[in-house]
Amino acid sequence: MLKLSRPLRRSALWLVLAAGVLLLSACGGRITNTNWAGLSTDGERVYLAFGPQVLAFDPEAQSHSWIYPAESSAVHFYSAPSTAENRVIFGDYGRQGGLFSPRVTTSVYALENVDSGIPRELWINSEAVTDKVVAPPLQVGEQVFVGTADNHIVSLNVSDGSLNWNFETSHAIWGQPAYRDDVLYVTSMDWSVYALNATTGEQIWTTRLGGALPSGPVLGDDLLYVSSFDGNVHALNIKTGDVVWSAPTTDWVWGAPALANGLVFFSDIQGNMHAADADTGAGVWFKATGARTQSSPVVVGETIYIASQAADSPTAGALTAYSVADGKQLWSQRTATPLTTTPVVVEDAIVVGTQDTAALLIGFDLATGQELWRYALPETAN
Amino acid sequence: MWDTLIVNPMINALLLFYDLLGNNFILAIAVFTILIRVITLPLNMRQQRSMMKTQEIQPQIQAIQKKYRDNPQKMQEEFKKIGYNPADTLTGCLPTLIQFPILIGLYQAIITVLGTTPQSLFELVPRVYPAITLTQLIPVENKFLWMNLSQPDPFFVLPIIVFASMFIQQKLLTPAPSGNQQDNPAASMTQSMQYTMPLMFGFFSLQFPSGLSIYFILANIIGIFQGLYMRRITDREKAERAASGKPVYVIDADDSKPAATKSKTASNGSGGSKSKPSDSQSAAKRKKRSAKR
Repeated sequence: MLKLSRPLRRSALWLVLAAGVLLLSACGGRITNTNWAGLSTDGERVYLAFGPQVLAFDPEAQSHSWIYPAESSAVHFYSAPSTAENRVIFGDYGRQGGLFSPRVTTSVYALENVDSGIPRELWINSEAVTDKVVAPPLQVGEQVFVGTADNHIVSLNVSDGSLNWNFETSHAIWGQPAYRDDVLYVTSMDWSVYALNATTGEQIWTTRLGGALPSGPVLGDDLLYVSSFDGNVHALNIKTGDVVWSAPTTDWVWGAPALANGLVFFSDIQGNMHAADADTGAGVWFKATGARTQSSPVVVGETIYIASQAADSPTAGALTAYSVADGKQLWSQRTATPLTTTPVVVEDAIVVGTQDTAALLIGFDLATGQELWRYALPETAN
Repeated sequence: MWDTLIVNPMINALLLFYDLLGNNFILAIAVFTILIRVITLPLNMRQQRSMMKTQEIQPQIQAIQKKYRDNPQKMQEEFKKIGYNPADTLTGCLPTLIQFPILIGLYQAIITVLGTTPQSLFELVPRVYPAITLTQLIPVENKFLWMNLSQPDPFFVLPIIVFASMFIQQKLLTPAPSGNQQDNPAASMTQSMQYTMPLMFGFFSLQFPSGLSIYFILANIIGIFQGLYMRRITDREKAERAASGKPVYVIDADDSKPAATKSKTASNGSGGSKSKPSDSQSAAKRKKRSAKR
């Protein structure tokens, strides 16, 4: 029999236990901190939140204007940054207190939107939210509205980050709220749409639909359009919350619908794309693309752009342009990783965010689909 | 392969229980834990029984080790006579080690089912079997009392309960030390595990989602009852053997000659020995101690 000395036996035991700890630790980290990139624009620059950093990219200069934080830490960012009046606001996915502390701290950040260098922190609020910020914040006047995974929508003062009010729903809020005339429209994963007084946070009306609501609402003239996991896009009366019509499709509708030219465009996660009359919900055209889609369509002029997985491969992505009039495909560009983030438009380029660190951002020509540029994080920022 | 065989069945089992139990994720985890314990019950019972019996014949093992230190072949022969297999030393922590793939799979399953980020929810969809209507189950309720099941318990309550329940379980499963265990790897390792395992799992609970800590606690509570049951069984068996007065293998540790086999009993090598000292004073003392336990 193999006989080990006592110290050797103890070492072997600790080795086995340490391997167990490492094995468990390696299977996902302490907090679930992964998501697809958050992408936004102010019309000139592209803002990307992906992993340990948030950055502003200038397509004209073909380089980033700033990266925050300057050095990567354990904190991750995925909610699309909100920009207004030289201010960028976004939230993080939480920071654990330490090796022996289970407490998670989540923060909302406001930065000065500088042209270059390191952006100045205007304020950081680590008290207002207690779980991930998935939803892109919305800045309106002196307020910023932040939906959180801890079921709340909070209103913060944009100048100092202090809390104005908070409102609790029954589950996480993943979609950016919509605002008009001092009313805030909020969709929650708890299957409900809420209309709140934007000044006080008091509820005006709520409507429960048939499934979870993963994306933000879209405001029309008199209707509020909402995508749902119940396989419909619903149009609600913005005054009362009554459902005016529901346009069905075959599977979950994840991305928010796009509104243009009196039509509403949406795709379910199987890639069934629909155009429906915005007033009645009557179908105008339908196209089965076969590409898994959870981003929102983007409409520019007479073209509708969809970022998705590639139809023939779940590991690749595609950006495809269709005609608004009849859904005819105009062009398609393949990417190395699935496209899960809603693209943004900056001047003549449509920009996609990928999960490929070698090409975090890719700009394509709006008209032809030709690749214009791609951006990778510099080595020092990785 | 890992996902198909381990994680996806766990995900679907959790979702099925969640659906059947009125959309209560804690109950779903509880039923899932019972299911896992039932599946691993034969292995656990066998290991516990083997461990307790090995402990019972510990004096003979040590005597043989001492006597045949320079004759490994003879040592093996003598071990065989008393039904002791040294390989059991290595398999002693098998049920514990087998927990690791279960824990890793369950960790991934809980995180995926809770769908705490859009990406994890999106990745959940293709993993769900067609028989489960996911739309009606999403989002899975992630709040229970003060806890967010997808995050560690911020008030240290669960880590403390995990530590305490696992310590009690280990205490029940670990036979009381007897004699000089310095030369016995199995006993030494078991004694170390008694403290390191609760510490390790308590530490895990500081790091991982509360849902996983609840699984630890429920599994430990079931383990405590299982340990109590096993003790009862082995005590009864011991009493029966003592009452039957069967002849057993005896070794005199002070005898310089090879071990005397007064009489032999059949042994199957799985630790199921019926050995018991019967004619020496020390053996009588051990018997008395054993009966008291």
